[in-house]
Amino acid sequence: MKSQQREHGPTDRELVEACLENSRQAQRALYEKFKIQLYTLVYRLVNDHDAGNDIIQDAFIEIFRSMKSFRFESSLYTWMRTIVIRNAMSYLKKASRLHLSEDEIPELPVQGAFNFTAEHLEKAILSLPDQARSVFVLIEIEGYKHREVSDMLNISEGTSKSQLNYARKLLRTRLATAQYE
Amino acid sequence: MNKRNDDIVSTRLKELPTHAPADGLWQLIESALDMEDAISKRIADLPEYSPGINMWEDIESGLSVPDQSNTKRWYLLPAAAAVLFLLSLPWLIQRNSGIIVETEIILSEAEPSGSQIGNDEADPIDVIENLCKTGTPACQSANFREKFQLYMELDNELRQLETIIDRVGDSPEIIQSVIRIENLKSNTLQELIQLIYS
Repeated sequence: MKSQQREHGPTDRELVEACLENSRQAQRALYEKFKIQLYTLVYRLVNDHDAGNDIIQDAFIEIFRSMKSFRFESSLYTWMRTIVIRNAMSYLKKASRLHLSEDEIPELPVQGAFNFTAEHLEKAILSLPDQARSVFVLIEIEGYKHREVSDMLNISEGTSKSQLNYARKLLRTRLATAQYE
Repeated sequence: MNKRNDDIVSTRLKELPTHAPADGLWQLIESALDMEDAISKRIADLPEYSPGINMWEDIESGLSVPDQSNTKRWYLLPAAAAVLFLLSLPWLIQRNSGIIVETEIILSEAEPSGSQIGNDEADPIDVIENLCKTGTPACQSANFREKFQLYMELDNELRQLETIIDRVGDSPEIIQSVIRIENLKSNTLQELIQLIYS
């Protein structure tokens, strides 16, 4: 496994060590390695490309400046992801976009096959209210637990659960009522 | 009478009618479950996005700029120290019987324009420096100068710790150090005040 990693470039540990020596080349390599995963996450959280780019820029600068505090207790991606999510949440809070919303949604019967694509699903996810979308993305896509999400969003676990249910229900309804080509 | 009523209620409770959900409910539940499954399967195929093409250049130029994030905190530090001191002033006065009301009144008369220790807007160390500028004899003593130097060193050390926290984040050890230095600073400030008022 390690030899495979070597064939494809330096390991995370090697990259971190080089970044700690302020190697711009290593910093660039780290950026290239994780930019798509992290940007995709940020974009899904904030649903805005301009804001997403600003957040990623600030997050990577913070990542390189605070690299000394990374102790390999988690994977490098997990550590970087935490910083990126914190920045995204900070943006949403500053923009006053994190409102709790839980309107009553009627459950609609779904007719026929589920012929929606991943792109349709993405569109439906991005149409969710910010709070519900953040909870859905962090739990269903990123694999966090309600306890972790409640810490990140500064909400109770109960709110995290109800927001996830709300997001799921909205998605079902929107995907069921959408017309697909 | 009451017992009879209870018996009737108990009997009627057993005779309450049952209610069935709507005929189409299972269809709704089933379709919701199927939809959840379909969503879960498509999550793996969700599209990915790239940041802007000039993002690396922006990050690189950001890295070459010195970290300015500490600046805001430097403004807060003297204010925080002043607040800390003002909050602890009643305790300091109570603890140190050497600080007496008459002495305070005399100094207040000598410095009527905002250099009193109790002034809400003044940094305590600035107040002490201003008092020394007026030629207060206590400021000339070696002991006072030593304590003043110690205070400035502690202040400097605290700033360095703030820099470290900003660069690498905090930890319980660093926070403990900050508290320890804050306490030392507070004690040194108290000693300086005692020397002035003695």
